[in-house]
Amino acid sequence: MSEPGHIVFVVDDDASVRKSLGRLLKSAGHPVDAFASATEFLQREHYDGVGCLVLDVQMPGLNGIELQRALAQKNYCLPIIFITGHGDIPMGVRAMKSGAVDFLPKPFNDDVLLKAIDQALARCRQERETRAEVADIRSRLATLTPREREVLEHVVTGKLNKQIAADLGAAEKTIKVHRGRVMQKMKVQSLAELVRIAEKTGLGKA
Amino acid sequence: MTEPLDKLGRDIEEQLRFETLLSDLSARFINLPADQVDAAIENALRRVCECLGLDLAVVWQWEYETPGIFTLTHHYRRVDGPPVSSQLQAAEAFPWALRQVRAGKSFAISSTEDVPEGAERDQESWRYLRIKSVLTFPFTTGGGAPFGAISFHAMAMPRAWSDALVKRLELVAQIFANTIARKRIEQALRESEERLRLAMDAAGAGVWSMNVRSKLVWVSDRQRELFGFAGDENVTFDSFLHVIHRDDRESVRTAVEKALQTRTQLRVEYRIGRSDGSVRWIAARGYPYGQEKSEPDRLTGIALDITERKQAETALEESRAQAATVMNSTDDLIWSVDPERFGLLTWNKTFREYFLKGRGIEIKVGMTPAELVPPDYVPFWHDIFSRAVREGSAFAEYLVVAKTRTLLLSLHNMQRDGKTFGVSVFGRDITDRKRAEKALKDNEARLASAVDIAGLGFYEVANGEAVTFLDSRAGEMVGLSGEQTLGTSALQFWLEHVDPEDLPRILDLHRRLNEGEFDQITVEFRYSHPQRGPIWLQLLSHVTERDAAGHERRTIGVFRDITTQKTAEQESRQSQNELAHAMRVSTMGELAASIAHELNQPLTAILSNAQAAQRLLTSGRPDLGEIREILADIAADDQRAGEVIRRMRSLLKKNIVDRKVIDLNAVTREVLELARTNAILKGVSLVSELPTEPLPVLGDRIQLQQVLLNLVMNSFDAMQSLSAGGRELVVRCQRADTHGVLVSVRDTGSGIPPAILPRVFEPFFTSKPDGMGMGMGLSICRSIIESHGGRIWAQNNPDRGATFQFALPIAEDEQA
Repeated sequence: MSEPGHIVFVVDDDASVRKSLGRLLKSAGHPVDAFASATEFLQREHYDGVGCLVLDVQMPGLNGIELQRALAQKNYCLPIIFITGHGDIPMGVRAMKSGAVDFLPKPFNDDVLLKAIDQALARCRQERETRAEVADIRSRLATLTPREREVLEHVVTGKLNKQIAADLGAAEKTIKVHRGRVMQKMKVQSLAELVRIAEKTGLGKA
Repeated sequence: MTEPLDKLGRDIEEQLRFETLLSDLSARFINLPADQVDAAIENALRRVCECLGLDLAVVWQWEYETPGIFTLTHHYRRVDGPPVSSQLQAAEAFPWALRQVRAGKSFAISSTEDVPEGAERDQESWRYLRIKSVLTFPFTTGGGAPFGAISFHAMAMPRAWSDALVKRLELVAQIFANTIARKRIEQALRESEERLRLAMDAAGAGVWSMNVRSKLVWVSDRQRELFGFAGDENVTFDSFLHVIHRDDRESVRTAVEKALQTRTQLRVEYRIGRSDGSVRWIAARGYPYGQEKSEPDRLTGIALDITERKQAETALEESRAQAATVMNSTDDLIWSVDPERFGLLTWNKTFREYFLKGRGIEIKVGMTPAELVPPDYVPFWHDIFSRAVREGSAFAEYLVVAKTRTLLLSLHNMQRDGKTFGVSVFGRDITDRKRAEKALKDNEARLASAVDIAGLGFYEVANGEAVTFLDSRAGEMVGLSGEQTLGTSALQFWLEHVDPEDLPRILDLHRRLNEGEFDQITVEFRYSHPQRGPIWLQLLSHVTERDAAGHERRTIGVFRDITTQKTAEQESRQSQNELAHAMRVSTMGELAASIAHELNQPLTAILSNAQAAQRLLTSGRPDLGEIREILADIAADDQRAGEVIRRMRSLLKKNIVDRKVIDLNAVTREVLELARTNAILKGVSLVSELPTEPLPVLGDRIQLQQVLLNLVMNSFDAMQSLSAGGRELVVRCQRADTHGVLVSVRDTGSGIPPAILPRVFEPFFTSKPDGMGMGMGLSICRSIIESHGGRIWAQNNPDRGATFQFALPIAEDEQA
């Protein structure tokens, strides 16, 4: 079920909880890396691979919610499953709104936790794929000349060559040539495809 | 030769004749009685003229006051001519001659055809009178102003006035002047005497004169008549004194002696006793006379009968004294002012004291309002005085300067012969009356509004049987109106609608009221109002009259609808209960949450460990070493969970309350302060007996206050159905024999039935009606007191009521 190459991080200040969770997750086949505090986790080198975070809410020092915020700022791509000794509903709502995968009151059954972890890992992979695609498109965009980029920006807004020529003060024929180059560099076959990938990078939304 | 001799002889002969004439005249005129003077002068003029061959001689006289008007008093003429007017304006006819005689100068004019300068007008007059020569002498005596003149005239032919002739005629003129002057003086004296006599007679005055040496007194007829002396009686100073009233004699004698010694006017008033027994008042005035530098030899004066004046004076004084007595014996202010300046005329003592009060003003006649009151008030007084003068009277209320007193003023103008001569003012201080009126009004208003606000309805019952009065509000409260409100049926109606549970209590209380056990009761009860349904009423009955047997004859009372209050009380109690419950729940919740969290950690570890072990066991090749480890961890976490629970338990057991050393006296005082308003409302007299020494205990101030307040409120409730006079609550704090503090709350209520006495501190036990109490108060009190290491108990008093007491250990060691 689980694929190699991912890590489940556990952050909980209670040693026996940390230890027992590590055991449980390992027994379910997940590689585990556990930390006693949020600060300790932040000191670890930036993790870029597939994974998720099982995070206790109530901790001395930086608490779970604060760690969630700090990770978002550092552009981490780690889905979080909160675990808490208090069934504090407002806090759970806040955590879920900030993108948590689940909010589990302690004690919890292993299947609930493991299901949440699978979910989290799937979300992580999805996210990584999206990010990779965007990166690819961006690298293709980088190959365009400034003039081609200008033409691309006009094309994705749905303008005809004639209009673009008028806007940029060039001959319609020249625009047609630029447009062909753009399609080629961006590795697309149709205008629709070009618009779709442009959207992913945030282009042409004006 | 013979001619000169003849002439000489004639001259000598003429001189001799004149000398003879002159000595004759001189002798004749000395001591000539006044009434013969005129004839003698006429005769003398004739003889002089004949002797000297003069044609006309005239004597003029004038008054000192009118020296220009000459009166012809005597004349003699030998030659005819125009008549000489008997009176003439000398300034017109003889201006020059007038100047001469008024200056005391004589003049001689030998020919009127040759007159001195300035005498032209005189010359015309003389020519008219055919006078050829004039010789004039003014009449003077002793260097005084001229009062007349004599003129000798020649008419037939001019005549040269020889010095000898002038000298001779000057002698004649002098004789005449003296005689005429004497006559004028005598005449003036007679006239003034006559005038004096007339004056004396008119005034009824007697005249007297006493010879100082002989003590003989000359008295006028009037004086004789006044003093009752006989017509021929010789009057002496002694006989004079004899007539004088015995009490006045000495003062008259002294006054006379003083006047003589100091040569000053004698002024004395005295009474004389007359032979007919009547008493007259006499005023005497007199002056001492005599040579200067020697003692006076005469004392002359007048005596006036002033009896009528004296009587009038006495009467006036008496009436004045009466008026003054009346004026000064009143607390009202009386004064009067003149009608022009409104200056003070008269005033009484009260007025003086009123205006003097702390103002340092000395009140004087004539003081105007401006001098008596501050400037702001002056227009008021001017206005009201003017109104009284104009309209005859005026009335006003006057707020005095300090605005603390009110005067009721009544002003009237005072008239004499139809003419206003003053304004009388009567001022009455009506401050107290005003105040009383206002207080009465205020009280009535207060009572009315109190009755209104309190929503009281009044009723009256006769002989405990029949309603005799029921006001509309009371009618509404019991559900009666119109004719139904009165009589025995009305009373029956009330009783029928009283809640059956409350009825026995009310009937019992009223029976005791009727029998005289108390005069007043207050009772609260439920009532089935015919329209409104169940309501709460409060009833206060007071017996105002009893018959000989002591049974009520007349009872008055008030109804009050206390439904709202009762509902509110119930609601408040309910919400308190709810609040307490909510608090308890929330505390439990918090506690539970805290326990849950503490327990969740080991439980989570246990569960995870157990499930990990299960997975390991189902994996096919379990690592037994790990499973052993897991089981050891599970056991450790289980122990940890047990530890949490133990810790919780001990935490719960520990002092959650805030314990400090506090003074129980202070706690008690605070509670009594809280309860005081309630006590007043409930008609309970609250007595506290606290020692001066502090009573330190270790405890929670709030909890101990709760206990005491609970006991006090319970006692209030226990005394609710008593008459107001009988409700008394005594709270006492004291040191108990052993090391403790004892607090007791003693009421005069109905006490606690012995059967339930042992159970009063049990939870949910209550003697109050359903919904009135939940029976937790005393139970909580016990918990609190016991948690403080003390104990609480209740007992009935030997006489009446119950006493709740609690004892706490004293905290002497911790006190410092």
